[in-house]
Amino acid sequence: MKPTPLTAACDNVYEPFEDSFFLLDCLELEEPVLRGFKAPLVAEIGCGSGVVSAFLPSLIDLYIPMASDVNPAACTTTLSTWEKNSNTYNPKLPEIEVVRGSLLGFLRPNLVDVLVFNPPYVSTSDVPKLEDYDQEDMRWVDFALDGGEMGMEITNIVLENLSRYLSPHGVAYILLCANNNPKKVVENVEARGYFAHKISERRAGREILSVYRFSRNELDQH
Amino acid sequence: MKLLTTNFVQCAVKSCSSSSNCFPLHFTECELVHEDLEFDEDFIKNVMVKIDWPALLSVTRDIGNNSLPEEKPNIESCDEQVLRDLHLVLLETQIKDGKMICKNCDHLYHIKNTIPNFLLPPHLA
Ligand SMILES: C[S@@+](CC[C@H](N)C(=O)[O-])C[C@H]1O[C@@H](n2cnc3c(N)ncnc32)[C@H](O)[C@@H]1O
Ligand SMILES: [Zn+2]
Repeated sequence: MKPTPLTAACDNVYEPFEDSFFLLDCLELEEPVLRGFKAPLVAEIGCGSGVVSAFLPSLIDLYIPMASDVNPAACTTTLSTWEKNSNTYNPKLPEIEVVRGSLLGFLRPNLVDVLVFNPPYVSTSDVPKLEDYDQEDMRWVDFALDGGEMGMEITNIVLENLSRYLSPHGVAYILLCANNNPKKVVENVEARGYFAHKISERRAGREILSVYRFSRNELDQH
Repeated sequence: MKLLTTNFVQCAVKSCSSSSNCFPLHFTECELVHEDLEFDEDFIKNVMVKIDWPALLSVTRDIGNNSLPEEKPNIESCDEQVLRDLHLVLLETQIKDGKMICKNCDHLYHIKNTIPNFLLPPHLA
């Protein structure tokens, strides 16, 4: 087991929790796949504290690290978390590029080699609206959990955009909970010509979490 | 934001994404800082594969750097010095504060304290 990164103080930012740690374990299982890329662009959507992004340097040697979040505090916290761990990183690894933005809507098409997303997956009546929050708002953390209908409103946008975001050999690692109906999610993604592979599943309190790898090409299972 | 990233981002407005003018953005009022990073020849070569050269030239000119050649260097046969220069421009040059403007819709994006902000107002999102 690789050590869990230290995280900066999470004020108004999603604190690393069971879902975050489960995602780290799943990514660690994928180390052979991740090491197969040459200088990949690795983009995390919804970086929160930065714990996931700050873990990736232990799995990939040199890459182009990027992360986005709508929450302004998540952006600065991710930079601080990266900084806190950077003494353990390869000194040739560039600093992470943290972008404040929604999903990866600011990227040119077909650039992302590895996409990672621990989404807001809780089923809620609504997803928060950006226009209701200003920079100083203390409720940005709402965006961390509220996933709207079946907890899938945000994740669905990412899944629908996979062919826009991913490079020809790109892979996406996305966390789902049982309420998201992973079986149905997999069917939908496969119907768009993608391969889906469950990395692992874990019970966390009342939730059953799973992480899937979606890719355009079939990869070796291991 | 590193100059490398200027080669990856475009206007986030949906209706711009089909326009060839949404990339590269126009950079203005940029305050640059230098961040040291150890050189790695293979890494910069692999990064260069992803680079759109005319877009990089456009952005470096925007920020007043005319040091890059008109033609994309041949990465496999060029001198190490050329690779070191590219490393300096792409990976060690940061825009600390500045503005980015879409050449298609004129939308203005800010970079504050190295973090670019691509969130859109509701009528554009
Ligand atoms: C469950 S938290 C995960 C945080 C962190 N990655 C982790 O695993 O601990 C979900 C994150 O997604 C962010 N988020 C929600 N909607 C987003 C969107 N449209 N674009 C980018 N980030 C978003 C939230 O602000 C939050 O930081
Ligand atoms: Zn535009």
